Amino acid sequence: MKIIIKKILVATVLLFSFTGCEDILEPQVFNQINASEFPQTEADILAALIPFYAQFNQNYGNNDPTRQVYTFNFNAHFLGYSWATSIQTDEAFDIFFFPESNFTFGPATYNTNSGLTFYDRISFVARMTGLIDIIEKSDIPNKELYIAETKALRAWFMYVLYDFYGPVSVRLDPTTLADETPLARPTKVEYVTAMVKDLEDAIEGLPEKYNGTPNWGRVSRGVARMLLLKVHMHEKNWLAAKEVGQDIINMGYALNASYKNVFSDAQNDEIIFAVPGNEGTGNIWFACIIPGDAKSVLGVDVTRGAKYKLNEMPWSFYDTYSSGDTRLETIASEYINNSNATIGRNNGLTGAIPMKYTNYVPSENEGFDLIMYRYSDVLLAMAEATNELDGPTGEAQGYLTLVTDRANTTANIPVGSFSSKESFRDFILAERGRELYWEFGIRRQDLIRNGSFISKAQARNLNARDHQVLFPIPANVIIEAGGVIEQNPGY
Amino acid sequence: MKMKINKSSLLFAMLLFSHLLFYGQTSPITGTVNDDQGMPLPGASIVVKGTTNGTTTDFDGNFSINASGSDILLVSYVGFSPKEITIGNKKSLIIKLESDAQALDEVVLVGYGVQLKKDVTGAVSTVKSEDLNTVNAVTIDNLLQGQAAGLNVTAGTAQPGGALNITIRGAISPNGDNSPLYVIDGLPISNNSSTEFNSAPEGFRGGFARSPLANINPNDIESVDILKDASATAIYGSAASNGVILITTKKGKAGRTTVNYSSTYSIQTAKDYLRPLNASEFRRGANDFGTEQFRANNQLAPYGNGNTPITNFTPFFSESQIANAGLGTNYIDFVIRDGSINDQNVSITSGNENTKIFTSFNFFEQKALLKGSNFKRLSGRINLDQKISSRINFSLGVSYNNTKSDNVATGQSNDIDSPSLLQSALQFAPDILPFDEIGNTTVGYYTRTPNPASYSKITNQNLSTRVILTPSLKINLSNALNLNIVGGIDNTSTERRFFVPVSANFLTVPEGNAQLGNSKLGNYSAETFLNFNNSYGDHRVSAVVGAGYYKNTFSDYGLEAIGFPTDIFGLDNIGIANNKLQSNVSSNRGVTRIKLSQFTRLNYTLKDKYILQFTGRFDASSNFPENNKVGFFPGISAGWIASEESFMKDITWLPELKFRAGYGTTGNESITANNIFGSSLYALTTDFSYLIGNQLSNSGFIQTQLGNPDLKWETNITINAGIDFALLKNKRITGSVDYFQRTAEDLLDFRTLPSSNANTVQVFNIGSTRSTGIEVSLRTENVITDNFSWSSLFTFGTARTFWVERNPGVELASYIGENDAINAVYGWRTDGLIRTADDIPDYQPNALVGNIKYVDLNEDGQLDIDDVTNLGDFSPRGSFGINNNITYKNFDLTFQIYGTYGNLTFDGFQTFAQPAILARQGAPTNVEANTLNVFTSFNPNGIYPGFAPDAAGNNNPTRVSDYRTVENSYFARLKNVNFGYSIPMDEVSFIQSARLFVNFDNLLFVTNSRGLDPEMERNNNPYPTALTSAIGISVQF
Repeated sequence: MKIIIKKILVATVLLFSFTGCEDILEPQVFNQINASEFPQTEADILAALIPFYAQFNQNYGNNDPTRQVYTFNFNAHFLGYSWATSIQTDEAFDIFFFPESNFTFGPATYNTNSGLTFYDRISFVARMTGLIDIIEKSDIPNKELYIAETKALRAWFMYVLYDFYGPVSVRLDPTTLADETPLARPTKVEYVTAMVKDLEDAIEGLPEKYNGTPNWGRVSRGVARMLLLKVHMHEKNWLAAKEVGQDIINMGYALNASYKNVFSDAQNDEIIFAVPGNEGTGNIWFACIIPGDAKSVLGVDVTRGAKYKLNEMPWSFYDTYSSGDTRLETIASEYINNSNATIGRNNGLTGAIPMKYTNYVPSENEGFDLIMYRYSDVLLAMAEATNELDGPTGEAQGYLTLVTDRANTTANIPVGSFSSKESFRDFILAERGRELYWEFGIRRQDLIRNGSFISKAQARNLNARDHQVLFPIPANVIIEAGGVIEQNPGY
Repeated sequence: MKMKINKSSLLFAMLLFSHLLFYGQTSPITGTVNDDQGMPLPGASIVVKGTTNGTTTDFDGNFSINASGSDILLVSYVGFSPKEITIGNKKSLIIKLESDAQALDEVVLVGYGVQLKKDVTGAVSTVKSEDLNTVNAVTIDNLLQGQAAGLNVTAGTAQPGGALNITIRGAISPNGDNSPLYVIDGLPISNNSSTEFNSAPEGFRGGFARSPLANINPNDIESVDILKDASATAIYGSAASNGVILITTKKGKAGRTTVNYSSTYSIQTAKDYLRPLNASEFRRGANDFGTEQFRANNQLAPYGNGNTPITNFTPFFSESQIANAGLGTNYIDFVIRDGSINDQNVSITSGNENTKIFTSFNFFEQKALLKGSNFKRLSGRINLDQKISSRINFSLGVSYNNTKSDNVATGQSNDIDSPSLLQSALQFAPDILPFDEIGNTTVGYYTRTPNPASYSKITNQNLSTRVILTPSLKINLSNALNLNIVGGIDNTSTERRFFVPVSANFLTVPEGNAQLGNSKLGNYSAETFLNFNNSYGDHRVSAVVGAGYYKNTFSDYGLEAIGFPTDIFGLDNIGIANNKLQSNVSSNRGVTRIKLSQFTRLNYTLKDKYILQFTGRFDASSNFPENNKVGFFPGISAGWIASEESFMKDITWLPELKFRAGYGTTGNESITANNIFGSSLYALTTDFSYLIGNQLSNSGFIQTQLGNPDLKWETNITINAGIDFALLKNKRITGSVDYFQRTAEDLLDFRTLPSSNANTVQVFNIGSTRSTGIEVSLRTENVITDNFSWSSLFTFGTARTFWVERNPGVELASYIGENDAINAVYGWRTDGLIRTADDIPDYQPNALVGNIKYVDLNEDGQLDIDDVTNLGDFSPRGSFGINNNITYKNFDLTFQIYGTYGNLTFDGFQTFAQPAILARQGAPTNVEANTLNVFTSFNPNGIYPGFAPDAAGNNNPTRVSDYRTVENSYFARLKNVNFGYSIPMDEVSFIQSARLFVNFDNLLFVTNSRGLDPEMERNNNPYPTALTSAIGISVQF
């Protein structure tokens, strides 16, 4: 009652005036903070980097509070970036026929408020530009490290956007962050230069590697170099690509003796970057590929856990592996169902099961280290760049056979694969497919670089058109920009 | 913000002071005022004619007044005809007032006091308890459907205790809240009162939003007054833009103690619902549809010229499996059962001159149609009125409500795989029995669809306790002036209990999951106001001046534990969970909102004919952004009682005619109610977390909103004009007609910043919407005889809601008109399905058979944004209600009809046609029977689109088409029929009356929309609707 009496007194006083009430009318927020108190420590900066890293997580996604939109993570194997790219290629088949997989997408298919596009990550680039500016102006210890780390991440996001949409209107100048006029798209050269600059700065400021350290999961110099290699390969700057590839080779990464173990031995020397996972993180990798009635796949008990197979590896792709290829230890061509029957391609299994990770976790709520970049990709890129520069030289073949030796397939390399630049190029493309199947958007990028992305889709009876090597800028972005932002050609 | 109101306060104080000076020097006269039964009338007004000298009677009906013998006393009392008494030589008077049957209803609660109905100048509807059929009503809002013109009540879900959407005069805030302010016995119930745990742990849908009124016993309601226009609601200021619903609970009465007991038992049976395929249909369909999917995927005829042999497709079921399938299990019948409701209510009304008490107790238990969604409520109330001295009255309302609701997962989910009992029942394979030989739940072909039987092992409950205290003190400072001090405490505490045992065999929750949580809501208010009422000859003045303090708080916490080695402890010992990495704790304290207010209402009546009223309120809120801390909301209105004019006296068929007009502004504070949009805020959140070094899960720091310090509440400007009338000599027909125009300005909106910016939205005020409409309400006494009477209430309201001004920052798509309806639907027109290659139009070059044939509206040879058109409006144009009360001797019959018309409605079955999940290779999922109506090569007459990818449809800018919609849909429902018989109790002295009744809810409806009940949720697993048949008795002792 006491509190009520006090309030009645207040109310009585109020009969006459609001004067003196300013204090109790101050906003009372308890679970959020004001930006002026940030950042004060290294931990604060790391906390500010977490939302960017979190985009690479393997669970579905997050609600972006500033836009009140649920966005899917890059590695959500359902509507995520990897998904959307794999299902466009010969390595994966989407049994749900999303617009991406049957090439029926257009500008109206995507809306930045739908959460189903990755164009919205352009906002994260601006956020990182702001964060870099804040760190630069602060007195936080080790600030050079955090600037380098943020720049590497910014370049990474820019690369993902570039891969999907071409050069887009990223905000890289901190003084323009509050501008409310739409920004035109930069030229390809400007955009690539900016990515390369960020990555070179990052290479300068980052520690060598985090394999086997408590900082595993953060970007290191190796990751920045890998991204730079990706950019140069994308641009077919073969010389620059070789240069950075050689830098990576000199860093002490090494192929794991067993292909299978690359994906089950955490933090092994072949891995350049993996998204760390444990029993507290999520994944929907297995749920997306294992048939609902499966009991055992590749000898692994999969009874527990969600299984709602959404995509598979087409048999046509599976059949490009030669027998004895050790990589087949990670791909199932049959499984045992709940009735203990073996289901294979002759009795109902419509495609191979690309397990990749044989250390099955029984729940969507448990995770594992998901590899995004690894050393064999570097070797194959070196082979490709060398071939493009000098043809199928011994050096080029040397990089390749390191990979095929491990797969136990060097002996099976078809005659004539090394006979010309063209045939070697074709072989490397196929070998990259076999080696790097279902890894972070790699197959789509390879096919586009090779110029066969659309023709291969058409060969699968899909109505793919040439301009679909890029995704359309979402229609609402074009409309809002009122003509300042140009749509990708063809849409 | 300082002192703005003080000048008027000062004037008011001077007015009071001058009034006190009128006391004369005459001798005291005492007396008693009684009603026609001889019962004393407390609070009757006695005024010496021609003066301001007056008093009121005490609780025994006694009064004392200084007057001389030549004075004439004017005695009046609400509901009774006034009387003039010449004093003469008498020193003591006994005055008997005759009740005025017509006048009895005519007091209206208008906020901070009552008004005579004839003095009301705003748009106000009153619903009396007699008109509220409380049989089987879980919530009060359900009872209001069809009872007041302009009040639109739609059910969000048929689940027991679920919230209804109530709007008054159209929903015109596109981003803000559109529900009215509820004031229960003077306590404003803030919107956040409806917050209960509504989370979806592990994708289990907790159900539905709850009504803020779900834990208030409808039987306690005395009356509901609905303030509709701003000239009336302005006294509630920034909370009132969507109208105000004032709920008054029953009070004690002096005199004989009466006990009312009512008991009702009801049976609920499910109305038409979705039908899943039976086992043989399912097996046959899985094969047929699987083949069809294979054809579509491989471009085999009729989907192309592919040459893959069809024999490459392996049917999932063999012919013998199909032949032997039988009917299997109908899982809808497995989860839907007949429900029942047990409703017991007792109330006691008693009192004497000093103390009056109303007490009640209610027990309500609903065994719901759907297993696992039961609802139970226990509630008690004590309303005490205590006279402390001749001038001071204290009253206290206490109510305690305890609800327990089982929330089996229901409802729509964007994730097709989220567990929901009804969805599982529709999709679980019908050819698999629910349990295996040893009693464990089975697993279907598509393991992601949980076994419907598994849900019965899950605990998913809300236990809610709500206590409302409304103390008030009324001090009569003089006969014309009283001071009211009113407090309010409303505390709700809700415990969420959720447990999935390992034995439930949920593949998505294999280790078991337990969640315990608690949320607390507090609404506190304190108000002080002065009421003034007096007459000066032809002038009558009433006034209210007051101030208020309000505070709303919210906090919650939760525990989630995962990994149960055993189920036996259930929720009683969740600490045993062994998966510490996934287990979680959380707590949250929401924004505390403090509001300070000053309010006033001044009403002036001249010669009982001309009325002028001013209302106004200042609100200052801690949640209002920095640059707009204080708002002022004025309302002004006028009335003319034309029938009081001498030239109208002779028109006997029109005994009452009043014209009203009003203008006012109110605010919609909901935009700031639970958010502080004015400030830029940041949070550390586990929503963005990332593992570093395989052991530390780091929470992310992220900006949660870009503030706007210039933000303000939405302002509503209402213009209202109305006529009240009574027709025929004995006023057999009474009614009113209102026209309103309600305009919302400074709409809360989100400004879209360039997509390349860090924050792409900022909240701000822009734009304007409007609703206009007419409201008609008619109450008719159709037949009045000794044995037979029939009266009706007819309500009708329209509301057209449309845009007045758009957000200029958002470029309107070319198909959107500047002033289109708020809920307009845009899309392509359609022209049936493409059934043969010949049907393929040139502008759909990639179309395949089974695709929808769209209409190239502008005939430019291509389908694009220019072919998008306005397909209609989701909001109904109008709603109506018809209530009839018929009595014949001891029998009585009431029936209620309500309905809406004029909106666009989608085919209720279309979303259920899910051929792809039935065709899912290796893991078929059952579907609703209408899926068999999908176009296929073997069913070329199917009505739903087929398997072929719809290339054109994927590029439909709005992704909406008018395929199988009904443009001007309507429905009318016979909501309620109640038939009763009053048992003659003349011989039984201790029973005053007894009535037996039967009651039917939701007997039938008519509609032109496609699908099931149009009020059923339009989603993939709507809660089933019920026919509720009740039998009951009510006895008064």
